[in-house]
Amino acid sequence: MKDPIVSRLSEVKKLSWEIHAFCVILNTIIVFLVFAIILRFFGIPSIIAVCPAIIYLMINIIYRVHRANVIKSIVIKYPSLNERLQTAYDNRNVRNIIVESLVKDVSKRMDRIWYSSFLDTKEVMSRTILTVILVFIFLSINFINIEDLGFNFQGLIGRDFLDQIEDFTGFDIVHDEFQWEEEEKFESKNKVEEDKLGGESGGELPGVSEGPIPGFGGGVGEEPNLNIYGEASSAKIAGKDIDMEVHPEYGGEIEIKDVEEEKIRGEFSGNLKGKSAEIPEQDPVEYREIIRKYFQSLQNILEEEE
Amino acid sequence: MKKESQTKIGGSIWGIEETKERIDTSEKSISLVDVSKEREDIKEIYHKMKDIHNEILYEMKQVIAGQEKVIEQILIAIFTRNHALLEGFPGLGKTLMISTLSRIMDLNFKRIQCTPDLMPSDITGTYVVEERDGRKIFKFEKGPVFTNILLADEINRATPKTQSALLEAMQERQVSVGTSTYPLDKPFFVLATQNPIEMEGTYPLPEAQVDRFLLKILVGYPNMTDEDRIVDLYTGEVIPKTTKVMSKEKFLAIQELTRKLPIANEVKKYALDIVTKTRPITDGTAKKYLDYGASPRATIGLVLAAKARALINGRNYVSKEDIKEMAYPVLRHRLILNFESERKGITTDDVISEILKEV
Repeated sequence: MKDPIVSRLSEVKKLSWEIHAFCVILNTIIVFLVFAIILRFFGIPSIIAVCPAIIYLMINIIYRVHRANVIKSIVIKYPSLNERLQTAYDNRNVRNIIVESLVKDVSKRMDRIWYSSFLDTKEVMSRTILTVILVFIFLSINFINIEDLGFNFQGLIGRDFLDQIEDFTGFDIVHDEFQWEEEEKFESKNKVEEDKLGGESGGELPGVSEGPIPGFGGGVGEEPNLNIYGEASSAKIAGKDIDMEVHPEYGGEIEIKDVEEEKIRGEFSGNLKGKSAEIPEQDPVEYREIIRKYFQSLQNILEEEE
Repeated sequence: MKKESQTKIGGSIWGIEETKERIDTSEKSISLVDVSKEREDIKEIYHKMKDIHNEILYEMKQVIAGQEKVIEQILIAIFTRNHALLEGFPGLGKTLMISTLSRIMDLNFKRIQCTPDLMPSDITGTYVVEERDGRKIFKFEKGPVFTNILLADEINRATPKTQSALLEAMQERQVSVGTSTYPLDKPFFVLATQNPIEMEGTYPLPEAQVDRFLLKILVGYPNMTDEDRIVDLYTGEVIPKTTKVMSKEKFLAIQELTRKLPIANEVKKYALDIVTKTRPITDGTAKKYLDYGASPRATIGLVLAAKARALINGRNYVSKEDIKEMAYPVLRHRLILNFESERKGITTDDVISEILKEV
């Protein structure tokens, strides 16, 4: 016949296992979510968070197998059973009047054990809420591109470290690396070209505040234009060839060509004979000022060249 | 019965076998009846244990005021079939306590006043020449050791030779005189007293002999209320009297029950840890204050004393509290302080307290 204490203890042990398994699974989910969120911030694929979660699960299972003491867990909840239960269990093979009375006493006390008392409702509740919150955060950061919000945590960890992760896991973190390289390129070139490009627009680089990363545009085009210098072009002004490289998004060149050239073409379509002073001005009044400014700026450039 | 069955069947081999079987069965049934009866008695005693203890205390209180802890410790020593050493100043009621206890328990009580001229034969007994039918024969005259409770008053005043004669009886529970050995009565225990003052002309008990006493019980001064009651008890017209609480059989059953009491492994380990920590082998309190620690006999004593304490308090298991409580009387006479501790006036009880804090 099985000892009543032993059978009761195995009953509690089974239940305690179930409760523990539930808590461990909940904790594993929390660990996964926390790591997934952190990794997402660093631009590392969230699937890698499975590793720490599995490690946590394994450690807990090993700990439970080696360290689990059902008597201790009962004693924590029911201190009055402490030495009684220990003694009854340790002397389960002894048969005498005192041990029998002790077993009877302990069995009676164990009848009053509420199995629900082993479930820490407060803890389970808080963990469940935490899990829900973490799931919400995780889903949110997956819907919202964190780069768009101006966060970039990749700089906080070493590039080598990311490379190692990439090598280790086989997951592609190239997108972010490419972005990183471009950022570096931009910063180094920016220093050289700053004075040149910023001259006309008051010293600030155009486009810097237009996107999350300078030079990437403010969302007008479909693809970010990585060429910030444009095609080399030459102009002949007052008999002198001038080589120019203008930022394609700077806009000045296009405006002048598109607008002013057409107008000029229209205005100077007829035969011009005689000196300029003799030809009567037929320009529309609204363009006179623009033409005047145009020639004045040409004059200024020539003077500077001289 | 045995003979009857033999005459009836005797003869064939099969018959003999059958007879043997019958005899065995009848003996078994007799012994089963006895065992079950004995079991019932023990069961009854066990269930009434707390009441018995309370009755003893009540009866003791008729004569002794206060000293509950001392009485409890004496009972523990008796129930574990061990001996106790009582230390206290004169006039604190040590002798009265023990004689009262023997009356309550219906046990024979004898007292020896130890002096330097006390001889071993004065304790164990001796051969005397007796004339019977005109013939002179040697007859063994039993000494005071042949009793249930022996009070050896001021044991440290007896010579080492006499002390060892008594201590041999304590250990072996028998007395050897000449070529003959005489077993002592059951139960037998010695309660020896020591006077901590007037140490001149005394023979302090050697450590090996002190170790034979399970407990060293310190008898302190009574408090004001108790002393007031003592004055009332012994200055009035009526002389305090006690009544018998239990029989010798009941007493032996309690002794048996004490050893039956279960103990948890964790509690046992706690007792072991305490005793091990008294040994100045590793760094710690013991090395700092002690020259010698307690022996395994102390561990046995500690567990047994804890069992008895649990039993008289009506519990069916030993708690750590029992071990903690019994650590003082069990260990205090087994620890030998080093010179530095003695110089600083540290007592063994202080060292035990330190060790208990550590464990």
